[in-house]
Amino acid sequence: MDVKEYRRRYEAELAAASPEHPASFAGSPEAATRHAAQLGLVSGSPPGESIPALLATVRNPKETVLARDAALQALGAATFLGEDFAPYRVEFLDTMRQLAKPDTASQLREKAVAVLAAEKDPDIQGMLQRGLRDPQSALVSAGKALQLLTLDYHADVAGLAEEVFHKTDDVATKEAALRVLATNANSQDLLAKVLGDKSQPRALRALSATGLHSVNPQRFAGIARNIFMDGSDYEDIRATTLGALASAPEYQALRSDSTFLDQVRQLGAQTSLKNLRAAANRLMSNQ
Amino acid sequence: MNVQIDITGTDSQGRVFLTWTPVQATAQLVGGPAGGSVDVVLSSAGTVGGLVFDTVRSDHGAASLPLSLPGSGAKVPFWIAGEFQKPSSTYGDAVVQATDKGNGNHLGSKAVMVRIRKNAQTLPAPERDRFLAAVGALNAQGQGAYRDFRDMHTAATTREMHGNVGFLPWHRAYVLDLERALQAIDASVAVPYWRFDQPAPDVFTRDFMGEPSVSGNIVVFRPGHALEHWMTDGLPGIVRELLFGLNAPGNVIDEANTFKLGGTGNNFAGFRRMEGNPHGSAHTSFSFPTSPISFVPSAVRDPLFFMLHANVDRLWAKWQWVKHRADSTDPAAFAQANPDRIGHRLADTMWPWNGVTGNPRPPTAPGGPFPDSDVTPAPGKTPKVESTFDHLAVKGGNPLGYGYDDVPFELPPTVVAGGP
Repeated sequence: MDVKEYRRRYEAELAAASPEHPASFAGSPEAATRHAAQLGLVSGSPPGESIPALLATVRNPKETVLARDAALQALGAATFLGEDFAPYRVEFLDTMRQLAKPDTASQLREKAVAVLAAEKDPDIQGMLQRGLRDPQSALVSAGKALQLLTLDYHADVAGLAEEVFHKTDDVATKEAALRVLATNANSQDLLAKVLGDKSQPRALRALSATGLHSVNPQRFAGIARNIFMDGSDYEDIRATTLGALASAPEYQALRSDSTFLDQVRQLGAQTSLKNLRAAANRLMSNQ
Repeated sequence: MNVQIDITGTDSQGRVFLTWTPVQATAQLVGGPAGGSVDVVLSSAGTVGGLVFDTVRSDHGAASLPLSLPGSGAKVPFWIAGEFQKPSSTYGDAVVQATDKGNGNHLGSKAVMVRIRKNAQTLPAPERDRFLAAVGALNAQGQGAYRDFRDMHTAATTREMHGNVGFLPWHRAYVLDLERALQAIDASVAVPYWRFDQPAPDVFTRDFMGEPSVSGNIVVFRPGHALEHWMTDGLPGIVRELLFGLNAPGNVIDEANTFKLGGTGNNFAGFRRMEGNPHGSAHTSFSFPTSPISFVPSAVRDPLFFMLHANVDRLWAKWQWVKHRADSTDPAAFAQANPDRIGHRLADTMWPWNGVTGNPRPPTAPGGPFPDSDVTPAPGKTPKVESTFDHLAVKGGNPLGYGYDDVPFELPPTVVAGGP
């Protein structure tokens, strides 16, 4: 490709490009988001100039929920402006506190609670934990509360997470709880149990594999080996545990386990499952 | 009799990784006729990667080059580069071949790689999987060096790289730092870019960066996937909820409109507003702030961050090319820091690679000095803001050792072929 010709064509493309038109609010939520993003960050404006207008839209109860939500999303983009956003940060967080109330539309409330949780606001963290203990007072669902509490990785909610895990039948909520427990050393018995239980949903067993490897690699290696060698377990969970072994630091015991390595080598050569083969090859290449 | 080919930037294992930037090379006859010479032709003979040659440093190399090689074995210099828009898929699929011009005999060859950052949406599966395997190994389920990259981009460090003119140079260095860490695991890897102003349905899949989960929790990977056991900040999995349809672009302004930010003068002062849109808008094309990538302090929990920023960097690189703004001494190619802040002036070294800690810099400097590369000495262990400007070294000097599939090497109007 001749570079001069490439330039000529590209410059023609640029010249022909139409200016970005703000999408209509009457369109889809995606279009509204796009509009708000452009409203907030319009070319030709100094960075941050539109932030006051966006804050006003978010606070205004006469605006539609859709418009307020789109403005909030645009403010999220504006937080990436660093020092240009800094003068508005206090007002932004105050606005979030105003929205984090039970009578706010759920779409806005959840987002406001999430912002405050991400900012490690202790009041919101307290509210989320209270909501887990007393669902009647919850601002968001249990699964969402656990997810938001993990935005502050110093928050210690393992006890609550374990309670939630045992109380609920909802897999998504169990997954959120298990994610919190995944690196808690006191949860290794639960993680080992879930990992070894063929009746558990795959997503939970996979999370348990990651978690158990993190808190007790040797115990994980033993269970993973047994799962892998058990021809009656699901192919996908065998692939998952093999993948965990392949991308983790070395396990001395397995490196000298010729029966295991032979099985891995054989499986890598014979399986039609691409990812199982790839995991087997990755593990063998780490030997 | 054979021809030996040596190329600048050959690594310790004898491998050569090229981009679009011409590099110096030599050809010499071994076992040739004493007192005579042999006419040879160098040509590009690979199956995928293409090469171009010239006798001077130029932007119009050809697929073949005749050379007369003395029988004495004296080295004859030439220049070699990857042929634009013909990158490699794997090491060795680009080949320099030397042929006797007189009788057509094969006299020698050298397998190399034209290693280029590509659009993630169209990345072939083998390249995708090598990239993912390297990223997974770098993370090592939370125990690996990815932690340093995570620690570089937090609330406490944000003034080093956001909201000021150093945003683009810093992130260019950051992505390159990670890429070199990946290449230390697998030298054939380059960071693919997520072109967020176009649909990318093949990126958000179980085979690539994860399929959004129905529950809104962690993304779903195919069992055995290299990122299935991803862990950062003590948490497994990647939470990422898309706010755009899989067959739609992110909620951003497109490339052409991004370039218009520079105004009629094509000034960096205007262009840098892309930090808000499309950059910030790309980050918040995912649920804010529950998707970590949508929030500055947590964004690097999600490895998609680096593909997003590879595209941000590609936009800067492409703007620099098409508007001739790769020269850091050009007043329109950069802008005054506002507010004036260390780390955002051309001659400033950049944290964390400079190892400087304590107010006004962050309290720690994770990761150590900038990693070396066998391919190029640039940007050095403590890069300055200005060191990042000319990634292909169109003005001369040393390139940064990477390129994009849609940003060519073109000499600026002020530099003639054969120049520095």
